[in-house]
Amino acid sequence: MTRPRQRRGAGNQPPLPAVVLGLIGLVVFFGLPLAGLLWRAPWSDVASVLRDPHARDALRVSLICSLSATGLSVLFGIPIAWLLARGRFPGLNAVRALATLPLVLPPVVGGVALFYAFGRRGLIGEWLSRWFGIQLPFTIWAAIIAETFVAMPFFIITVEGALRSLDTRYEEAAATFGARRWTIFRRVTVPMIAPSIAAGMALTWARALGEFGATITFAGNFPGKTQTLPLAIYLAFENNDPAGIVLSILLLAISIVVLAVVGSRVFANRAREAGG
Amino acid sequence: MRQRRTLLVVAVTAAVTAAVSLTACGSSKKPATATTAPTKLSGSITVLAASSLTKGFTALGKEFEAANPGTKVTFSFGSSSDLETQIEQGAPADVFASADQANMDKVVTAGDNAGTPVSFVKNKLEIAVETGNPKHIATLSDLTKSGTIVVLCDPSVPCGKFAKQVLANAKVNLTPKSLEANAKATLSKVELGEADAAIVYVSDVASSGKVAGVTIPDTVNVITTLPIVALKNAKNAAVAKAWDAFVVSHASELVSTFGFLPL
Repeated sequence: MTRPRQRRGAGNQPPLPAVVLGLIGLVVFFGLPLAGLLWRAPWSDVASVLRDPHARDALRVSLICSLSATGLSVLFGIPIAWLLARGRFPGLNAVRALATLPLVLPPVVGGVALFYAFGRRGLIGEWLSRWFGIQLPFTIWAAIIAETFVAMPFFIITVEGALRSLDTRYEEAAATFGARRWTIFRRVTVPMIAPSIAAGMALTWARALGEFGATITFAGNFPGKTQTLPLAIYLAFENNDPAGIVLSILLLAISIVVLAVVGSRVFANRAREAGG
Repeated sequence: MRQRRTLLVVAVTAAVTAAVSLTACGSSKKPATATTAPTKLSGSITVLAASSLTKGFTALGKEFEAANPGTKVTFSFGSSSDLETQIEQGAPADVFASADQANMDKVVTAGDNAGTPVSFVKNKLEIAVETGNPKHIATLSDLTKSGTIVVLCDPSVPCGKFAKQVLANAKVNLTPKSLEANAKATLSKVELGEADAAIVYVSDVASSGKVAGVTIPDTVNVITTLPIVALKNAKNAAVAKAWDAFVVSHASELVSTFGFLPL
């Protein structure tokens, strides 16, 4: 597992035009909008907004929903990614398209589609309601389902890519030593793609945290129950309420911290993965 | 390598120059169109209108275009508070039609209007229920019956502010399942069968066709006036003014076909 030392030389340096374009891109698309938010932020209101129970409720609902969505994405996403990367069956591409459908579907349409499936008059929602008395819309479960629906493709794509580029000789070696498939998956495959799993989780969680359209459609908006931070932010902007900007910055700060922490570890591990 | 680098630098410079000259074009255009003679109407306008006006204005727009060949009316429908924010941020629009006085007042206070806003129709709230009224909802207090799923507009948008007032007037203490972002989203929850009832505008119920309305007595109801105004930023002031006059003179059509109330 020795890692080839990065040699500092012409081969490693990005060419000047790439540096210039990269910098322009960073400033125009990411730097300036963030600077705009920080510039207009009512800093004197920050304390009062953060003390507001409504904001805390929205933060709590957001964290519960986005973490649950990430958990569900891992639970279902690893097997799906595995099927897509290793499966050999007709219609594989159609299945892949299905699993990445939420990436192209406008989230509001996604929310309506969830109604048609799990709503009171939905394909299976009607039976859930009639047989078990379960009504998903307007509950926190609906928000979790909506966020999972929108965010899981990010996890699947990341993990599928890792599984594809994985050297299968390690798994084959384990098999020749008599390891069972489940053991190989658990002890060889998953540890080898762990950095990508972590990267996929971070992406999925960030997407779930920022989700708006599918959530407000399928789960509705009720403070303390289904109102996530993005919904609270949107409605604050409707009201010209300065809380909107403060909450946006809160959302950004949380995700930047988490992504930076996860990112630094993931990229360190990935370098090791590539070297090993 | 060096050659390719120069090429890229040239490309970037060209792109930046093009972008700069484009913005220059955009700003030099304005005075040119503003001076077009108002004798014969031509050109297009963009109308920002409250979402409750979606069907009514779309129909009126077609009539206006037919009556004034060479004109085109494009609409952007949304919640009045959203539209007000867009105007404040310099949206390239010619006309604003608001669902309430408050958002129109904000536009006027900011000085984004050209001329005085004119009221053209009124609206009030109604209970929207599923066709056939399966839950037998007859009054506002029926909405509090257990097992009845009610959705309202969020108090940050006009229909939600008015719904809150109506419920307070009727002394009904109601816990909705959801506070929706605008009147259309609120109504759609009843149309989809996910909610048993919603409080929306009578005009929404009339133009939906998929729900039934239960009247809220005028004694507790909120009656709103919808104002329209041409905007200071208008690129086509002549057509904008003509459209406003057309809406005022054809208000009866909004009343008879789309469920609004006369002034």
